[in-house]
Amino acid sequence: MKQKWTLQNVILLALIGVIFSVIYWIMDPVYQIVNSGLAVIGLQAFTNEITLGVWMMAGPLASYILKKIGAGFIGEMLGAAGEMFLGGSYGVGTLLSGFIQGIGSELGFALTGYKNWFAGLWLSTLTGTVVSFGWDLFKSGYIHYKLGLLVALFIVRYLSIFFFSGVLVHLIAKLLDRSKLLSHE
Amino acid sequence: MMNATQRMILALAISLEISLTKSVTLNVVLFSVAFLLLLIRRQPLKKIGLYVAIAIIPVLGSFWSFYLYGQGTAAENLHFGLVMGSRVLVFIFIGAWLTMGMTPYVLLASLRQNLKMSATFTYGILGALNFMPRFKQAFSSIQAAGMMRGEVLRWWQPTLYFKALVHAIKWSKNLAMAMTSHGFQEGASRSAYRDYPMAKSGWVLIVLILIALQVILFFSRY
Repeated sequence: MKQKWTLQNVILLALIGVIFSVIYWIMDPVYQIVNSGLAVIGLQAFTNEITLGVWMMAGPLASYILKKIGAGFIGEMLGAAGEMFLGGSYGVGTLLSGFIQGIGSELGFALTGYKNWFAGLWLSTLTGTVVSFGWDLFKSGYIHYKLGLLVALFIVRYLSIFFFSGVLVHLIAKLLDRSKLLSHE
Repeated sequence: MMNATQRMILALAISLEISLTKSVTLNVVLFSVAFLLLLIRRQPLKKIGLYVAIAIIPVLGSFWSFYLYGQGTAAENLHFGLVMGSRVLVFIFIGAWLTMGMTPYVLLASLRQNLKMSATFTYGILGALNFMPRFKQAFSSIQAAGMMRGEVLRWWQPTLYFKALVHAIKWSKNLAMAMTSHGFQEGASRSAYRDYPMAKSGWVLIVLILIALQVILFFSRY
């Protein structure tokens, strides 16, 4: 595996960022709808946890497809920056979230020494959950919640990230593998 | 004054600061300043109105969910609701200030010159950004192609992303080839058509603003 970034790698990474910046931007109103729906039954604290997996897809997908150091972090940052330029509901806040989420996802691949990308993908769902949850403890005031609720929030967040940034990413990459469009020489 | 890189650093510093503090006063001050800057710099009213429209639902949503369902006393919940609501407002308007009059090209060129980002990344990303409108077309044609076979492609299905990525891979190959054939060389030294230096006065301004934030925070009681 070559670690050098070629022009085509960079463009593909940026295009992944572009695709997901549009998806993230579309998700902003979806988040509000889910939130008001859950608020009716008093579970609005879970909105963020249920939907977060979607917002974290760009990083793991970029890493898993491109198999390069830093792809996850840069991919997530590009997605976030694009969302901001499109006029997302969290403005410059998305850059900060993208930064934290990018580090979280990248960490999983880093822990395998960038050798086993399959294990890295599953690890990244875990590290992504831990890092983003740690950030929310302070940023979103989760630290004020009771322990039982915290555990529930953590589990739901993990399941969301596991599904969207793990299972779905894996299925997308598997389809790409079968298409033989990406040849890693 | 500040160039694009410095503005981005300042915007990130401010968003980090308000993410970790709970002062309604500071948030309101920051929002007012950003809003005034948009007016002073003669941003079209329609654009400002759009930012307000974008803000309404998330601001009210953040406020209500913490006000109605917080874990503390009524006063604490009101305070925390106001903090979270005004925080979203600051995020949106600082974001508006950051992107005001700044194109992705200027930001990328500044990052390349100021932070030594490689030319491959700068121009690769820049080239890719031009595909934004074509993805919209691609998504609708992917869905139309699915409909012709009686498949409704939903956003949680891998097929939709796979097909978008097939386009992305094809375009990335074509664009890389096009850029190379037009003389783009990876790693070659290049001159700049315009310079985007980081001025000392910009750094002074950033430090002053950050100090002012701490002062407001120190004196704010709510």
